[in-house]
Amino acid sequence: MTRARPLGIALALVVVMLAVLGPLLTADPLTATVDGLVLQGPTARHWLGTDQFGRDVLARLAHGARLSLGIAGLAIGIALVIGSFLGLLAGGRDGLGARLCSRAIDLALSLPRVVVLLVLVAATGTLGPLALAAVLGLTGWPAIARLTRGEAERLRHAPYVLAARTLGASPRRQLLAHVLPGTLPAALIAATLGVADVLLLEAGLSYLGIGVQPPTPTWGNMILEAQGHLATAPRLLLIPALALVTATAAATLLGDALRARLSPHRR
Amino acid sequence: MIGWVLRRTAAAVALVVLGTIVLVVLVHLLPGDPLTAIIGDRAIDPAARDALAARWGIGRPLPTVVADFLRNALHGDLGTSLAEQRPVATILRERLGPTILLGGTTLLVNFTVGLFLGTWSALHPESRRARAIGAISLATYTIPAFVIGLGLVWLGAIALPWFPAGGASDPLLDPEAGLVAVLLDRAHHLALPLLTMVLATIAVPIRQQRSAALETAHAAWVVAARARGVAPRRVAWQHVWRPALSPVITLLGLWLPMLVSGAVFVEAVFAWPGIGSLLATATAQRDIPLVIGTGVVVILLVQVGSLLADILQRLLDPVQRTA
Amino acid sequence: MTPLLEVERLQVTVPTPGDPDMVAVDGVSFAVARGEFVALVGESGCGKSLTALAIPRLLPSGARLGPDTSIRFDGVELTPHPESAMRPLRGARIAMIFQDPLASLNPVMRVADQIVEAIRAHGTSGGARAEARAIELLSEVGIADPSRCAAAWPHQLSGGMRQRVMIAIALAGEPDLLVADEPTTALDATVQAQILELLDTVRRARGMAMVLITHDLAIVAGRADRVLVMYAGRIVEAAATTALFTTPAHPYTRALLATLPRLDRDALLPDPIPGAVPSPGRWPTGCRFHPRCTRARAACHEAIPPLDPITAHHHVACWVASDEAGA
Repeated sequence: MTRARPLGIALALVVVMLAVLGPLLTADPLTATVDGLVLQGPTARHWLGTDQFGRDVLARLAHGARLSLGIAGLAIGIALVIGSFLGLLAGGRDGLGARLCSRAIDLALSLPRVVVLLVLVAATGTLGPLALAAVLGLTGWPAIARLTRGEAERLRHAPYVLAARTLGASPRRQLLAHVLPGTLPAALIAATLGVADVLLLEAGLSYLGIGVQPPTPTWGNMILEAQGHLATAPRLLLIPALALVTATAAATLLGDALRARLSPHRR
Repeated sequence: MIGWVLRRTAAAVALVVLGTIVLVVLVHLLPGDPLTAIIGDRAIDPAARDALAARWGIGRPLPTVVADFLRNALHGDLGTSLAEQRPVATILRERLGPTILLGGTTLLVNFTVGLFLGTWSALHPESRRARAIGAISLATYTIPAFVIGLGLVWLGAIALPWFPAGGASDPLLDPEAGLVAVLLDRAHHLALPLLTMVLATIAVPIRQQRSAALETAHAAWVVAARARGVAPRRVAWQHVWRPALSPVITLLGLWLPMLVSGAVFVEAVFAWPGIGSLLATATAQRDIPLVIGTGVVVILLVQVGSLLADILQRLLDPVQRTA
Repeated sequence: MTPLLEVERLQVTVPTPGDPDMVAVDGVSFAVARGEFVALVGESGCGKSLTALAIPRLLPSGARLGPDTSIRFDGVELTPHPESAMRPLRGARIAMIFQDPLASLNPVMRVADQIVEAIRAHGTSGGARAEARAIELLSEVGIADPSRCAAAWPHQLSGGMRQRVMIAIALAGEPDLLVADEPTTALDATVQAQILELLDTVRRARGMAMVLITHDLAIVAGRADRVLVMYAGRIVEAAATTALFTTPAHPYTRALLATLPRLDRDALLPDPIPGAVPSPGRWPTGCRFHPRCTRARAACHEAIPPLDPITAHHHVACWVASDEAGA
């Protein structure tokens, strides 16, 4: 696993570059090519070929990368903020408020994420990327909250927090200035690993037709559209699938690498 | 022990009730007129609209709506599907079987083959096969379930057309066909979806069992057992595997939600007529009563599974059993 | 009469992060006669546990025996035996009990099942007869309510009871030799005495030989027939128990005896031995005790003294002691 860490960083860089630079360098993902070459294999002009509407696959892949990563980043940001906050409240203090918070986290954890996600999507209808990110973030905070809660509980009793208290720090100050920073490494690790989950969920939702809607490309709906042409052009499935797996693997490996760096004693 | 079982069951019930409340509240909390959210852009006649309004308590306070829903649910009434205009409960009853079949067989395979592979990997930690098992299961775990499914469809139904590409049974099968033919047909259809689910989720039991068994493999009682001349095979099962079982059963409860998400996507890929694909299509159609009804049932199933797993784990561990 | 167990030039190497072939036991030789009680005494790190584990060949994975090593049991050379040939001996002829009775009992098996397992490991049938035998054995090791104990789980028993259970399991195969690796170290003082008594009783009743490993010299007085003192991977003194306690020859043995608290001396505190036991791989050249020895001479730095007899049954590995005895 140790040998895989630099690999993770390398993969992540490739994916990010694709997402950032790709759309700037490739053709328009939405329009068919002028010469109407449909379902073409890789050529000099279209490095990954064209799809069933004659659109350049590489361009769609790159735009999809940008969209998927953007949604994932935003979703994780939302989950991180909410999750850290609630986790801190639940684990960092005593009292009724903390206990209620903790119970709320437990309840949220007991609900299968997919179910809540689908209920939200069903209720709000067709989602734009922003709304999708929001919904994904709103279902992702419990995992981060649980981790943060555990860390906060542990750090509450750490000697340096006690020292702050003897110097007259108020409970709030103890919490915000001392406990919170201590929980950040764990939260960060959870967030990085959470990116993998969100990528998969967004792809899954788009595959089910309830995420990002065609013609806007995302890896998930590219896979959906590829299903009908599996026999004739399996490449159309393979390419976005490979991209998805690479991005997910990169996120997971990065998360592992972070974990090894930030908390080596708790492998 | 009994006291604990009762308390744990009460907790499970509470979670199901609270989860249901969360789902109902979520729908109502979303901005805009809840009724519009429920109806969407369907054409609907005024009488039905009024009935729906009454049913969903438009204008009534939220707690009343929740209470009504819970009360109805207890009587088996989970609402009426907008798309099919049939009771949700009826639809669910029809679709539950295939999911139990797929989920149940996945569970069986994961917790037999998975545990075996995990224990074997722990007993031969440096062998190439063990490393291969670890790498392959990790690889398939990383690949999303629906991608694995599509890959298997391509492999098993298109490239080598040995298996059907979807469905749970052959609609053209002769209704008079014997039991064996029916069972074979079902098995034939189950093969690819089952393989997909197993590949997507088996990494977890394998890794858990492997790490648990690695600990027990070096336990002092293993040396003591060898010191009395116990046969190696018996040492492996009775002294390495069996004590390592308890932490893995705990895993079962945590693994169930993974089964749920797997089921939703895999059933979609294979057009498997279970509640997973039902949830997906209901969501796409914004058939909110059906979505909520299905969601409630899924939550119930997960809690029941988790409860059974916890009870089993407690039974298997003598320390907890006699506490 | 051939000795029951003959160990010659036992060498055990263990793989460590720094050294893949670190010598932990360096040329140990001793013999045990039928029915004899031999104690192997030494501090932690001297290699006594590995010596014990070498006999039934239960060494940790990666540990190896030296090329010259010979272990003969009842006249049969054990070192070339494959694992499948060792297994019939374990439990049936050579039994072993360990230091931590809680960790040595499978936590998910009832006591009776573990004893029955030992009975069945060598071909005897199971069923009611084996269960009855298990209860008999529990009674023989001094457990007051054997049926209840048999039905219990290991975590429900006290430390002393668990060790008795371990002894019962060891006896199930009717062995000729019992190797006991620090069986009382983890127990309270009063229970220690009871277990030692039990071991002695059981041993005498069955004519069983016993090798007892311990770091506590005091517990072997009045019980063992012979004592072997081990230091830094080698035996430094071997004598009949009385001779060892009354006329210890090796400076290490003397120092050890001086550390035992005694009622008949004025000094309130025992004299500790200065310095620390060298760990394997860091053994000094020459006699390994010489850096801490009050009587070390030039010769002690240079060569390892062999185990020489100073009387017919008293051997010592010390240049100074050998000289004094006129050997």
